[in-house]
Amino acid sequence: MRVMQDKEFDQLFRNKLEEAEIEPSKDLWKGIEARLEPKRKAGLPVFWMAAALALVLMSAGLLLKKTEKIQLQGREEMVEHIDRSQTDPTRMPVASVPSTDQMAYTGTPLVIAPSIDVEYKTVNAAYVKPQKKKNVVSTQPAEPSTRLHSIPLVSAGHADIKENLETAPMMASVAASATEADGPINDNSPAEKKGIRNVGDLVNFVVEKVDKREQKFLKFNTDEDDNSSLVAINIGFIKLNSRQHK
Amino acid sequence: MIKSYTIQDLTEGCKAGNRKMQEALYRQTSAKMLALCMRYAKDRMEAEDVLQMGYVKVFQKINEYRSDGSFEGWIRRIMVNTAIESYRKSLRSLTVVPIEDAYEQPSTGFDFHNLGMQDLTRLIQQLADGYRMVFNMYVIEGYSHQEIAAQLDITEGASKSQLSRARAVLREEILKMENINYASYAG
Repeated sequence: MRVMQDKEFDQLFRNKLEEAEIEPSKDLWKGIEARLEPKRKAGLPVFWMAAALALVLMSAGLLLKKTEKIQLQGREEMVEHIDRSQTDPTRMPVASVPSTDQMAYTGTPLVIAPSIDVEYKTVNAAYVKPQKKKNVVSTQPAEPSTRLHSIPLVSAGHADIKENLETAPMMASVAASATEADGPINDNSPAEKKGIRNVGDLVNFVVEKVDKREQKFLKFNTDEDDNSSLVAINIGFIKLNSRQHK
Repeated sequence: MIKSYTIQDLTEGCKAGNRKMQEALYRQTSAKMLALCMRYAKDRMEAEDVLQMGYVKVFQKINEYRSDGSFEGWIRRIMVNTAIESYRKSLRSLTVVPIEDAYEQPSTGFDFHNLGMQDLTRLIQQLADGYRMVFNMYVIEGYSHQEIAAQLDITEGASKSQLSRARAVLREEILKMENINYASYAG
């Protein structure tokens, strides 16, 4: 034994072990199969995930488009708000100073709504101005820097107002006509006016994009509550109209 | 074991991802491969773990197999590589081997020539990690010291010295077993 050479020793091990067999546990294959399984199915989820992503992007696109419309409506609220500030004299000086500046530099129809303010202000400019100055001094004595800024601003605004004295009323009337013009436009597309509140609105919105005819191939009534009800179908030979809609 | 498939059937079936063929390949080769894994692992549990990982690799890499070489040799190589990976991981976790546990029960064999495959496998399993790897790779699988050094990330000199120390430990263990057997005869 002791005298056995390395080569001989190795050969004995090799002979006994090279072709050796040990039967694995019965359930071992199942473990291998389980590890192979996810790899084989990996192709499917990727496809479905891509499909789902596309769907999400499409619906997100629709919704974002919709949000823009809602913001357009928001302008109506702004007009309302400014109207309120006009009737409320305590809020007026604060609101009017920036608006005069804006008015002076832009002068586009987009600032029509603020211009209503300015028009009102020009009427009262004579007595509002000194009042404003007093207010600034008395209410903000701890901030000299802001006061310094605000006083020249006010006087500048005053000058602008004088300049625009004649144009302001005219612009206000334009604003009035513009808000009037909004009405009929919105009547043509009720969905846009109200925003999408339910499935019916969404369907109407999509249908409107697809079908430009006066009588859509599908129309939901979404006026009452949140319950949409089908009021009109127009698919060529099949026509249903529960009531003649405007 | 039913060996009804040719190597070509098996390789082509596995390349196509045919589950039945994969299972057939496993059934035909797994006993030999487990015997191999047993030599590299510390115990049967680790060996079966390596076997499973090894077969998963076999099926994943089946397209890399060139039909000019021995298919069984190719699978063996994957098993050895998987066993080395497992060994590297166990090195990182720094497990301490209770060496004395090894000698509880003498085997059925009376001298070296009568030692069974299971006894020899157990003796190899009881070698320290590095010795076991080098001894298996050099003696049974026929790797060169250069290959072993590259695979285990050691020097060729270390591979050689670990091999000779592994042999010395094994000789000693076999001698011990023979002495115990002799003692049990005498007593």
